[in-house]
Amino acid sequence: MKSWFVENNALHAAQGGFDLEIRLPWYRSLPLSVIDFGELRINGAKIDPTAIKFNVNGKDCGLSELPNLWEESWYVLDSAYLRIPYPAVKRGEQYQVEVTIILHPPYVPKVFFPVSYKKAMQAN
Amino acid sequence: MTEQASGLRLGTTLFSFTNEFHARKYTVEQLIDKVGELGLGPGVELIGFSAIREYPGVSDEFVQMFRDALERNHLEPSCLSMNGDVMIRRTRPMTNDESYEYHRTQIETAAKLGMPVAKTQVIVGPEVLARLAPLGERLNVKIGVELHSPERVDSPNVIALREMYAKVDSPYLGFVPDFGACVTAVPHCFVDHFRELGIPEKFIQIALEAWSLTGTFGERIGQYQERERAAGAGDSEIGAMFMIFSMLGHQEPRKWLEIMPQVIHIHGKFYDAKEAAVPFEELLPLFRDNGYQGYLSSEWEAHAFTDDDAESELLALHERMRHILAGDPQAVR
Repeated sequence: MKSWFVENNALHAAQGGFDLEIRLPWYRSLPLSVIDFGELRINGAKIDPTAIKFNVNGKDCGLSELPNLWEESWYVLDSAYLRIPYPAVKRGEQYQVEVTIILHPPYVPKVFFPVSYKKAMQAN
Repeated sequence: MTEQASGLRLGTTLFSFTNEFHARKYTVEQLIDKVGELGLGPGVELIGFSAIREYPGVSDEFVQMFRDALERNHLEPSCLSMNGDVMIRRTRPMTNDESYEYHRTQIETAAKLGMPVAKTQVIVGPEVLARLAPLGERLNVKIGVELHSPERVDSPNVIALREMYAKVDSPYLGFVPDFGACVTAVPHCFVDHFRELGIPEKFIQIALEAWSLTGTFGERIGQYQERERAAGAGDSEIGAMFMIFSMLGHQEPRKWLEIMPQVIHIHGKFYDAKEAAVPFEELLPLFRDNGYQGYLSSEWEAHAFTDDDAESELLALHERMRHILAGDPQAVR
């Protein structure tokens, strides 16, 4: 599970920014309510978290909505996407991506697991 | 040992194959075929929230696939690993009624899959478990609480369960010892991981020394934090190595005898099949020779630190276990 969170070729150019394809870095599905995201930076610049959308099961939601979504699950085999606004994205160009996900497994109260990723990625 | 008294049956949990499953290399069906091909049975355990998309429920298609895959591989259902997700709402724990319902669906799924045991977690507590016993009896599924580090047979949460078990006296309630609760040393993959994170060696050694101390979980982590801070370690380093205290206990293997009649399934947790840290040589005869009747799932958990597949580790552990059960322990380091 060492490199599960962000796979290779996961930075997709999209309308108005990127869709970053991510996998759940955990052995089992989790409800969205136990998932948080830390700072997200592209080329060192912090992206406004209120402008980022999380997409799974074909649905978009704001990051601040996640704690309430205890009835929606992210299945372990499915990709999810972070929809990140960014100006003038070019396919084939390299971007430095920094992202952190924080998991709060619902069977171990008060314990959380941050997983961070920082790498130069080529937009496709 | 006579053949009759030897009621310990080997098997594995598909959790061991977490890396290859997550990487979409194999489906659940293909993993069951692999268990058959590699001779890791006869018991097959799976984690509901991993193997089954529609879990806590289960589709008829999954049930049929599971039963067919077991049959063609001459395998047997051993245990459904449930989760006691009391904190799915961030604002409050589940009520006991909610927790009962959450488990009811999971136990019904276990029954559909033909699982003799459904395993849950200590956090669920005695009240909900006592209420689940009649459901287990009706569906013929035993409900087992996993005794996973930092819990021990005599930690307060487990004592509360043992007291309830004594009162309710149901054969449908039991325990699932996890061998991670009784390791003799911190497996090397943890230390390798800490070094890879760049944690200074002196902090790693302090953590290992504190882990070896006697005392309760609270006392040991208190000592750990105090010693690390005195040496200049920061919160991130202390936090990163906390896992050895939460995931690995050093309860003496013989302590399992206190609950032996209530053991209904076993998790043979391991990290490196050739490493002596998990004392299978002592544990397997202890269960076999003291009346245990049921499955032991090999449970490879080093996938937390690597992207490697489980196959070679599982083959090596099963060879080691067969040697032990044949009375011919292999030399391990």
